[in-house]
Amino acid sequence: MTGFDRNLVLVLCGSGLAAFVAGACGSPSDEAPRGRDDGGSGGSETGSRTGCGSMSTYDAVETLFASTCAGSTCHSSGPGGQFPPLADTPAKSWMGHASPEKPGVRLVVPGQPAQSFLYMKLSGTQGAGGGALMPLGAASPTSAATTVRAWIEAGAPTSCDEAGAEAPSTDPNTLDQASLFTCPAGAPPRSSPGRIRRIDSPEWTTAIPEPLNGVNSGVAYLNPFDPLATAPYATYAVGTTVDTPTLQLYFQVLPDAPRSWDGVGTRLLDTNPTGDLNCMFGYGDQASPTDACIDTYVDRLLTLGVLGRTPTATEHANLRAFLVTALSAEGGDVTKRPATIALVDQAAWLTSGALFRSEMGAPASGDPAHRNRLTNDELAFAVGSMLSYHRPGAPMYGSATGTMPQSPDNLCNTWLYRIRAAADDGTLQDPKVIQSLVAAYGGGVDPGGQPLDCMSGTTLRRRDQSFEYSIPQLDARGEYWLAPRIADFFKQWLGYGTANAIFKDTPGLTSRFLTTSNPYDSTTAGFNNLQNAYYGHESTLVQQLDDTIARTVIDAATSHQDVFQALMTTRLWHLPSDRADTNGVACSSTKPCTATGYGCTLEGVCGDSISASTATAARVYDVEGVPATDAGRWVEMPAGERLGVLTHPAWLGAAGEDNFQDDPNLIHRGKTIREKLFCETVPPLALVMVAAQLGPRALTLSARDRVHAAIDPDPTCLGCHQLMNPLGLPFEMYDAAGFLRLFDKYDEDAQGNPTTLHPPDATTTIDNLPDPALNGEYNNALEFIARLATSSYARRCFIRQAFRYFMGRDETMADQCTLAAMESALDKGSFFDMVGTLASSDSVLYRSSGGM
Amino acid sequence: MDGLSRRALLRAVAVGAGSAALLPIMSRLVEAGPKKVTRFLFIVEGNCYEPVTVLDPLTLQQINAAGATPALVAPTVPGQSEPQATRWWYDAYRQDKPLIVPSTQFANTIALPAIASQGLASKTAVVFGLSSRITGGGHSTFQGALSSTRTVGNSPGGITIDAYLAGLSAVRQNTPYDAIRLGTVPNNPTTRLSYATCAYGAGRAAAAITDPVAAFGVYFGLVGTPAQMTAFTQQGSLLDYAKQDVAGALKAFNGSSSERAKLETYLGSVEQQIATQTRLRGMTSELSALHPVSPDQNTAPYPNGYPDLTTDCMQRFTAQLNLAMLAFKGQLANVAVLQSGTGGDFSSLVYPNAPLGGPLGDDLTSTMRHPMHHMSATTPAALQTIHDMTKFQFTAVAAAAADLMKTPDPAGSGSMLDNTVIVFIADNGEQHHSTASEFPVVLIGGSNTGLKTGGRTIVYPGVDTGGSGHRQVSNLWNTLGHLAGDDLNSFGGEGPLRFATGPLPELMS
Repeated sequence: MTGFDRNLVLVLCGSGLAAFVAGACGSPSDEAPRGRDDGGSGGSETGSRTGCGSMSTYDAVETLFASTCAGSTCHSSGPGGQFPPLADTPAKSWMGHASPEKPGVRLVVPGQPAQSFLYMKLSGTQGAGGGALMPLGAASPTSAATTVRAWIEAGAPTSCDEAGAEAPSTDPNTLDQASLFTCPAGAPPRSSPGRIRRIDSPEWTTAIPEPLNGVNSGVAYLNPFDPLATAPYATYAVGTTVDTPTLQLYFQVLPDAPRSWDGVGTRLLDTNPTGDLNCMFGYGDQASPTDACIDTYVDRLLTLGVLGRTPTATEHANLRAFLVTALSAEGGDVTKRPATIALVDQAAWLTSGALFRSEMGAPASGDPAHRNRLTNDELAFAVGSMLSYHRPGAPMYGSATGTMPQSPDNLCNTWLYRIRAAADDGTLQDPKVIQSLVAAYGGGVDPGGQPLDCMSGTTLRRRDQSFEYSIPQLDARGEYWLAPRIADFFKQWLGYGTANAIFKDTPGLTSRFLTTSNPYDSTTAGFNNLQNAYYGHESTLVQQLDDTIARTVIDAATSHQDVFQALMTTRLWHLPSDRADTNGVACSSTKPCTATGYGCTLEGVCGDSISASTATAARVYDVEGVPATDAGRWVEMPAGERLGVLTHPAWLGAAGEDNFQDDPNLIHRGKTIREKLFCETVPPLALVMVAAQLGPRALTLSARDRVHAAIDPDPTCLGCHQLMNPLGLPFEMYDAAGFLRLFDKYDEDAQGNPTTLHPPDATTTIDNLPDPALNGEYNNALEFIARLATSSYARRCFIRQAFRYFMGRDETMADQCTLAAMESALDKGSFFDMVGTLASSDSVLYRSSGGM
Repeated sequence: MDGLSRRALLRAVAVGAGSAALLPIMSRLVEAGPKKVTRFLFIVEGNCYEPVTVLDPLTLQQINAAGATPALVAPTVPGQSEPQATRWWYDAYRQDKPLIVPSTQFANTIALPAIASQGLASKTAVVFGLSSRITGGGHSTFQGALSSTRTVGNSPGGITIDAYLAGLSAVRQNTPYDAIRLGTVPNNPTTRLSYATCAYGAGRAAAAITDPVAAFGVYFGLVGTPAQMTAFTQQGSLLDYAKQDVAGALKAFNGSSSERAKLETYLGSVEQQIATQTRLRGMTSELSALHPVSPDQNTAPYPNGYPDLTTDCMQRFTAQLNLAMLAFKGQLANVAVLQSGTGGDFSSLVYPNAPLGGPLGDDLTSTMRHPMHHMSATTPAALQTIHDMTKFQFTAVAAAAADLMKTPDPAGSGSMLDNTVIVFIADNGEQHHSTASEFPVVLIGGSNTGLKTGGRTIVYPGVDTGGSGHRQVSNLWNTLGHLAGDDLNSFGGEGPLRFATGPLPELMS
């Protein structure tokens, strides 16, 4: 670092748009009414809504097109009319077209106004070459831009039917929370929009040999099926498709797809217990597979390998024809068979059935509301995807016995098998069955030592990991586990999934460990090892919070404790051992270690020598001396230092986002709390100009000092920063990496040597939370969290976040009864009960025709 | 079904993918006037390259003569890396107008002697003083450098200049690809793509292929190894199969328009890929004539080959650079990006075989770039090493530019270098922990495009000096837009924080 080092900061102020920003966030003196949380008496919906009627975005754009755009011959469909023919031709007929002015940009991309040329033309973002701002002659964007944006964000419905009550609001955070949790008497039948959902990245990865964490060779986990960057959660389906760049990238990883299905010691062979696929795989008369052999192979591949359901006749026939052509090209050379099978597998993985999952449903017999209901196959996917990335009933990688999936609990062969079985026999349509399956697969405790009946010598530890190809650090992981999607919900809700990837410069610089800037400083090395797990066998920061959350959720379910309160206050954390690199195998003087390079440690487990990195691994927790045993890694954190997941280094480091201890981590942490715990929106940077920056970095200045100096001179900054900074300031008791601070700045003498260390200032005054009971003064994060944990308002926001993640869409006022039922389930039971209630609700089971 | 196909075909043709039926028309359009082609190569370096490495003694002297505060300290020997020399100085030049040094002493710079030795002096310009604080600086601005926006949470704030230019029909013409995007990261079988530098738009990152062998297979598989040729052919049959399947699914689909659009988009993507394949097959003889060799098959001593492709990031950088040159020669695209250790990869690059000039031990030759930059503040050998890395990269770039200079342009008049603008820029700015106050830029070639280089160094007033002549990186992108016949006054996210609209007239001939 030098005297030139400065840091630009997420500071929202000082621009030509300041007035807009202030309006969006509220000025410091604003006293606009906020949504109440009084149990639903009198709360009103404050956000915009869609629905066919006077408030419908569909109605609004239809009116706009008719009254403004068709006022001249400009956009008529007659002679001389300009494209698109807004006036006389239904939007459905032209909205999918590309713009002639901007080839490659579609006129309307439902859900994505920024990618829609129609909106660009109205908002002045059409760019050079994009022609004039519309309406023609306007000097600046008109209200038409707002109208069209709302319509596109709502999914661009083109009929009243599509613009049904389920269409999303533009910002669900504007909905009144109290009303959202009130199920009115006589509420209309609920449903969600029918949709197709493109397969996501981990779903594709788990369908082929790659394990979730990508430690296997190959690049399959780099498949391009990432969520839209604008989606609140990766599960959102709006706008997810396979565009040209995605397809180009898909071809980069597609050759990895067949590896588990090409017939040699792989999953498909495991579905070959009777040898009926030998004719294809290289046994017996493989040169000329019979029709029956071909049919069996195609059916097996599609059902268990690619689609996860019974293929349609067309799907079967098409792939069969492709296979027959490929077989004929072998010219009798059976050595080409693996390549043939690989080609056919890739073809199967390019089909729409493989890449898109249907949630359209079929007409529900006897339903007075004429809704569609998910079919058994669709429901299996819908419920399964709330629990895992794996397709229910699909054989797992690592299967070794060559048996068909036949046992609900045989982890060697399958996962979520009982969901598949319930879909096959139709019992899955029973809400109680769904709830029991969610409870059964939602999580558990596997301490190890239980032999797996299908894999000789293998014992079960961490059921969620047991079927993966490689299980790094499993010995050092906690024995509590959550189903992958449930674990991922917590990761995405709290946003700590990036904790291992964000570089932290000189972590612990202001902690009692006084880290130096030497990149080989032992504290730095220990922290870095927590991020990359390069040395030793201990888990990573993210895994440590994963394990802590898993135990908290499961213990809360067992003890009937409120899970939200438990998460906010838990101090029983899973830590890395700093005593030895062990393999977890117990040993003694009479039972020596057998693993190469391992000896019996003082802790009674087999371990190798302690590396410098491992020996300092727990410093970020302000802890030293963590035994390398299952029990020893569970540590009760000091009461005056940590309280709940928001004080965990993984959250602090990820939510802080920044690299340096005096960076504006407080702003980012405050933003996360505002949005994820109170369901309020802070305008994104895209809507503001970034004029301010932090001043020069110096250890005589704290992050608080630097942020104040940047923001205070311009009152317009506070419009948004008042939503963030007060919530982030209490966490200044921790540094950017999550170390407990010893100081946050110091005084120095004339030579630049430190004289007085200033204890960290984590005080704050909060006066603008939607839960008034939380407003007040706090000395640090611990005081704030202790009260936050009791907030029913924050707890309801937690439920809303769960709804968004597991449904893959925003909540609307039409989901009132579902949200109320979720809250009731959480009141009476556990997190698993809440998810089960959602999974079996009409919001999942029933569908309208509108898409999203 | 017919309507869908027509729509997809129109879309494909509109973005230049072409079709056999329309190619003659497009050819006539292109040939109607003088042959003109404009290419752009963006080389984006992570970890910055320090301004001092491209500063010549004459420019330093003139900056000081203009009243630099504080005055820049020159190395005792021109062209050497010395700790006492000023490494960055974005606020030193405080005049209202840019300083223009007409004849840069490239041979006496740290990193650019190859510009002189390769005979490129008159075709090169060095630009100092352009800021881009909207990007945020730091270790990396990710897509910010090329978009003049800020990337937040891995989500780009806007389209990057490469993607913008690639979307212009005047630039793309009838090339099969809009752009070639390549990257340099340490060899890792699990790392083949990087989304760190480019973007199609806000929230839509564009990937670069970081494995040189995989990249070769993608762009030259048609005329590559037998296995690569087979893969190309099979991709065609796979696309045909996918088209049949998705078209059938659309026919049977009865959902809403928004859901239908998902399938329509997929079908359009498949059809566009088919059109690209068709176009490539029509170029087989031209591509074969280039005699492309997969990088892993070329084990001649560096720099003619890449014997240490899996371990040496400099060889990987050069292999990717030469692949981009080959793609230009094969007319596969007119825009290319070569990113080097950008985004989150800033820390990990190593150069074990670099001909380092300093007294380095084994520790430094295996040390990754990030700690080396930290050590450079106190360890002269580390400083020498990071500057050597910059020099090494410019040497490779100069060799590639010289090759283009000798190659008659197959699509335009003059040499390929005359029609190719090479832009070498850092992805974070002036220093390792950048303030985004200055992005030094080296421009090579492009004399037929309207770019004015002429061996000059141009110094714009610093961002904090209060001078009215300060300009931003967005002005440079606007300049490139003008070279392509477009105006980019609204490009990027600076809005009212833009110091001045328009291109940089000092770079326009």
